Amino acid sequence: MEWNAWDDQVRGLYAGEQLAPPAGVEAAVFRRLDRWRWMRRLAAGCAVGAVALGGYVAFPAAEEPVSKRPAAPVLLVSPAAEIAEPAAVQPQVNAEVARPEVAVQKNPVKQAASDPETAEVQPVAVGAARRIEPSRMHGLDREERLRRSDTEERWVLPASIEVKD
Amino acid sequence: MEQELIDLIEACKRDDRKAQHRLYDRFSPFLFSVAVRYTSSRDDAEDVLQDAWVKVFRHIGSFSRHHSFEGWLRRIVVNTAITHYRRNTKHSYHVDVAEVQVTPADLEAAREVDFTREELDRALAVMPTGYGQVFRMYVIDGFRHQEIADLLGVDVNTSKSQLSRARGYLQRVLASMSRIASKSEDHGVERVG
Repeated sequence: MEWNAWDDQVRGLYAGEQLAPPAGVEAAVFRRLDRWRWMRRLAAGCAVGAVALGGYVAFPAAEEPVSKRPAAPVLLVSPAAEIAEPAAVQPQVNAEVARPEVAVQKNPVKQAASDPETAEVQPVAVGAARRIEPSRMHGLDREERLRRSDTEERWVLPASIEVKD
Repeated sequence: MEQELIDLIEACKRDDRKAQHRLYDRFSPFLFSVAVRYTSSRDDAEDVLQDAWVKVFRHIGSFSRHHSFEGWLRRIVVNTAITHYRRNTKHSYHVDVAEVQVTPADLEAAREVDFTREELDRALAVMPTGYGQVFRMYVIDGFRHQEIADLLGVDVNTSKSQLSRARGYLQRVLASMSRIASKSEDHGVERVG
């Protein structure tokens, strides 16, 4: 008899063999699986926490709430600057920039708490600290805007205004 | 692979607990029989089966439907049994080849000897573990020499030589059993006569 035939004879004795496992094995398997799942979730949570902590340590500014971040300077085109002649507006802006002593700080309370040296370089608006509402002027035609701009109180705006929410 | 089994496997990959129970019910008898072959007791076989199923469910995501699922399961069980055996070397037991008394005539006749499953189990039980593992993997479970070498961490040639020795050893044992059996039969006949 060849080895292959002999091997086949042996294999045939075990073909299709099935033995029922003890009942407790199934419960034990799924108990271990539950424990493994729980550990896996815990490990995943720890990993996410570690990444978040690492990110906060490496980039603390990125974790601050949006409301605490310094607002990016917003450039607004003043409606008054639009309607005024460039030659007439430009000297006024230049004059205000040249005279910082008459500037009224936009946020006096906060600014007083900060360094006076840095306060000097903040964008300023002349007159009472009021919000500009450009929408008020958009509905008017050019002549009406000119008329109102002559009668109403004059605003002199710097080239850039920082608007905070 | 049948569609039902594919669906079951895909559900298990999604961590579906019901599907996992169904898969367990379907394949456990087969896997337990494999585990029993590679261990020395039913308690060890239970441990192996338990470890193997945990591995199966953890790694089922890596199974490709282009392969035999049964073969993949069998491989996990055998691998787990080998690991289990190495952890518990106290289980090593074997009868030295020299202890088996056979004549050349017995060996010649050995290949023609008709043996039962019980006799084969007894012969395998007394076989040195290294031979036994290779023999079971190659002859009974259909592994290739390269797979055996990978699983056991040996050279392919080592696997081949172990198989050759295992066959020789097994046939000596079976021939010895046959000789003893025939002698006892003769004695029985003489007594009757």
